[in-house]
Amino acid sequence: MFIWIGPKQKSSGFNEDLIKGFFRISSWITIAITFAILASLSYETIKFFTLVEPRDFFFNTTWSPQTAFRADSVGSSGEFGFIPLIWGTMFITFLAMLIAGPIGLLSAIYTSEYLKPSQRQIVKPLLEVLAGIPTVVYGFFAAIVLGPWLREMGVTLGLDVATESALAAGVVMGMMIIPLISSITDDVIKAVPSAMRDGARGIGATREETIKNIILPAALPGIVAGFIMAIARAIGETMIVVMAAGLAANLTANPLEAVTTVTVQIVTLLIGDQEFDSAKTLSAFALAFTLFVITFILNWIAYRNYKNAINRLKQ
Amino acid sequence: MVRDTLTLDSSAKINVRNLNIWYDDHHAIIDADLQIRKNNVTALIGPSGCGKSTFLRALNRMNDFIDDCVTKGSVDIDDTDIYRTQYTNVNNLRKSVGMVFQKPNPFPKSIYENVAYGPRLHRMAEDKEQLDIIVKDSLKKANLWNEVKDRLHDNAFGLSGGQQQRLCIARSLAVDPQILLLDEPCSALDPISTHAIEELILELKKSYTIVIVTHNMHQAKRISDTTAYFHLGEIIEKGSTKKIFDNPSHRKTKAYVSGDFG
Amino acid sequence: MQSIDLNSKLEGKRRRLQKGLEYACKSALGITALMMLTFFLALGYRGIGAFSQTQIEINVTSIESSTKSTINQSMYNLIKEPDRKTKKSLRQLVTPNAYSKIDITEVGTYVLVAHTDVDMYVKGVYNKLDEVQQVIVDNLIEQDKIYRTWNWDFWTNSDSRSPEIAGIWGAVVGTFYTIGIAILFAFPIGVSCAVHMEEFPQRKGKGWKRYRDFMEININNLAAVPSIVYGLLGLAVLINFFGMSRSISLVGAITLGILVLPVIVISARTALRTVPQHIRDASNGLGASRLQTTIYQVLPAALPGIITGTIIAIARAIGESAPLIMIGMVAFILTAPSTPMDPATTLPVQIFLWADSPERGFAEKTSAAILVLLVALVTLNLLAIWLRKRFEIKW
Repeated sequence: MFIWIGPKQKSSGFNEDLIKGFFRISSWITIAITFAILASLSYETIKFFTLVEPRDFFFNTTWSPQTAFRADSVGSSGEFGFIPLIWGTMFITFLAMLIAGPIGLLSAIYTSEYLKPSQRQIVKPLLEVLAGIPTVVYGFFAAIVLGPWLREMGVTLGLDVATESALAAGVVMGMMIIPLISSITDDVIKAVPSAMRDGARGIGATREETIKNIILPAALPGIVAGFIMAIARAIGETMIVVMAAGLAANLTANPLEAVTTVTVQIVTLLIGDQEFDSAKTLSAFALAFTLFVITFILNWIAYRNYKNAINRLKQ
Repeated sequence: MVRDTLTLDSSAKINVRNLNIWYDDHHAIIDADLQIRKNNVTALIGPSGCGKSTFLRALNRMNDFIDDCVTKGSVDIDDTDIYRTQYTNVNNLRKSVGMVFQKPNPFPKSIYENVAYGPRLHRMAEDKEQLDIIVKDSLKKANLWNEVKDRLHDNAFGLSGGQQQRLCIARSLAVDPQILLLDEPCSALDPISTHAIEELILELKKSYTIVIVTHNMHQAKRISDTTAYFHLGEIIEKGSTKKIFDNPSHRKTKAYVSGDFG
Repeated sequence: MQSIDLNSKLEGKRRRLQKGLEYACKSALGITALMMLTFFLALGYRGIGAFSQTQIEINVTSIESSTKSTINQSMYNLIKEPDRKTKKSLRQLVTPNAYSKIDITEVGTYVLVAHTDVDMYVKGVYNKLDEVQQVIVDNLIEQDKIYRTWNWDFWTNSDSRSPEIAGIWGAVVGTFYTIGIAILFAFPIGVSCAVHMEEFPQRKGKGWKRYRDFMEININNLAAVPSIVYGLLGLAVLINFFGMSRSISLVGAITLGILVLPVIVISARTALRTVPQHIRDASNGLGASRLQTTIYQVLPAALPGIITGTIIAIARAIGESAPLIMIGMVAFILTAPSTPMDPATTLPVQIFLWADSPERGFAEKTSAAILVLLVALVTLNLLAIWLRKRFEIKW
């Protein structure tokens, strides 16, 4: 009796190549999206740099795109220095991390080391609620509730707190980021093999000592990766700062003053009827491109480290 | 390598010649030669990691799914090399050379759907009645019909380990194979289920050619006609089961079957 | 032989660490809980007022040339011989658009929506009433002719210049159109991409491995790109290059679809990965091709996870506002859109616009809209969790 081995036959009821082709094209679409982002951003950015010197953009410390418009010549080096913007972004991010860092870290330690599985099942999703709140809602909270409240507090303490203080935006941004840090930290801590824990507890170390001396150091690379991801998220955040942070560039280290960020400027520059080719509108693209590159680099580093950390722990 | 007492049997159902398989740089199967006779149970034994499963999977080209796996040599089934033929319909090959895996792996569907999947795929039934007949037949052949006939539409995951494995056997039988490859089918089962399956195998060999990989030497002794001993990718010795176990020629074989090794 | 000391307590530094760490962790969680509580309480407190609307009963004793004048006249009747200034005050006790919603042809009593200043006064938010208005209003309240009722307008009306009748309906419809169309094409493409990446690895070879790594990095990066960049993408490509009109839901849908695509891909891939390899082996071993195995066994088994992930992606997309603002879905929408090509806005954008409004009456509307949005999101998430528990396959 022969086993019939014959020519390749389309025994399936559907056209295999058509469907597989659709799958393949879907993958290409994702590549096309990245390409489109890079192309459109860089195209406008290059146009921008024909009007404004890159050196001015990257190293000037004044940002007031209005002056460029007032001066008649388009190429006048109206102030497009982006340093105050990046400073504002980093400053608010820093404030946010001051809040989210410790809280996220400690919460994660608690959920991964102290809670019973049944409790964990409730607490973890509750923390995730913070991640699900739309950023416009956070922005509203920061602008309408927290900002004025901080200002009032300041008045009673004799301090001058702007309604759009960096502190207000930073605190709320911190709230938003807590779940990001806590869930990644929790994942990493859970990935630490129980053999390590058992080794420490087995010689009489307390739970806290095990955490401090064994688990946290082992989990550190992953935790750091999580922090970097959170920073990248904060840097790219738009709505909270649009609603709660200021519009004027301000190079200050005082959290009670108002600063502006890269994302706020991108929005402000593009809302309203502008000529699409003016230096103002183009500067928004230049800012966006810079933002894209920065977050890409940060996320790439973070993701790589995170994967490595998890893999190393799993061994 | 000791030549066995079987002469080159041209009526061998499967004739493996000079088979070499590499995983990346690791030479997993080295110069393997083996004849599998029709309606026999051939057991592949040896310590773990010696390539028995790899060899088995080469017989129905399941290794094709693994990246970095290179196969050289020939595997003739009924005198046709399943590797060299340019247009091998691999799906049809696997229909005729069925495989049952170590851990029972029913689909997350009903018992009926599990068995019906294969026949549906290969368009073996023209209507539902025919399909029902195929399903019933296969379950009967796998000695499972009586236990499930009243709950054909229950989820297969509700069955015990032994029943699930018999379901997997029924599933393979439903596509009308000629050869059955069993990869340590009982290693995840308790002794009673194991016994049930061994009985089943002895029945099935009347109609099918069976190759079984097993860790359990006693099992090989109980149910196989021919045995091949694998060691680090090579077939050290092959021959009738009685000879291999009672009077092995090679010292490595002797060491393994007497329990000094492995 | 020394016996084991089981009774002594931890001392000094060790004890401090033990107590300290636990305390610190609990405080962290406590602070978080406190923040969340303050957050929701503040919103609830500010928003609860919007669910009621102040209405005013008017006595129509004479029919004038138009409904508008009829209404005005019935207001003038409240005061003996009002002068011009008083007439204006009286007119402004009723919502400016009252005449467009009703046709008054007979004498009698009619109920109209009160002006936002009256509304705010009644709710105790602020008092901008002048003397005349104050007296009249207090009188009418005592006569039970001014009272608060359930605010249906909030749910059925679209945006308006008058906060007392402004509603979220237009924004809700816009949200449905935008998100609906976005998912309509993001879902199939996303799942196909995930299937392609997981089930059909490319051929062997170093070049293909690099391609696979690139795809991996690409997808993960796209998922982490700030949402505003997608807004710019929509602006530059859809509006500038393709010349589509601003502020229509189709453009928003495409932009959001692109934004949410990587998220769907990633969650679909995770769902596909949870399907154990032995299921594929079993199917392949029976002679099924890879595609058949994928379609008949793997996808159905992964479907609950894929759907759950998609619902979560939907929840994320609903909350996005920055990209939509960039592409201009900020127009003042007076009526709900009837096609994807009509100008539209979504609920989060509506919230943003109202929050920006100087008109104080919008403050409570904004908080209320936020509450509606949050409830919708919580429901979606609960739905996803329920679906997962109900349909997930326990391997």
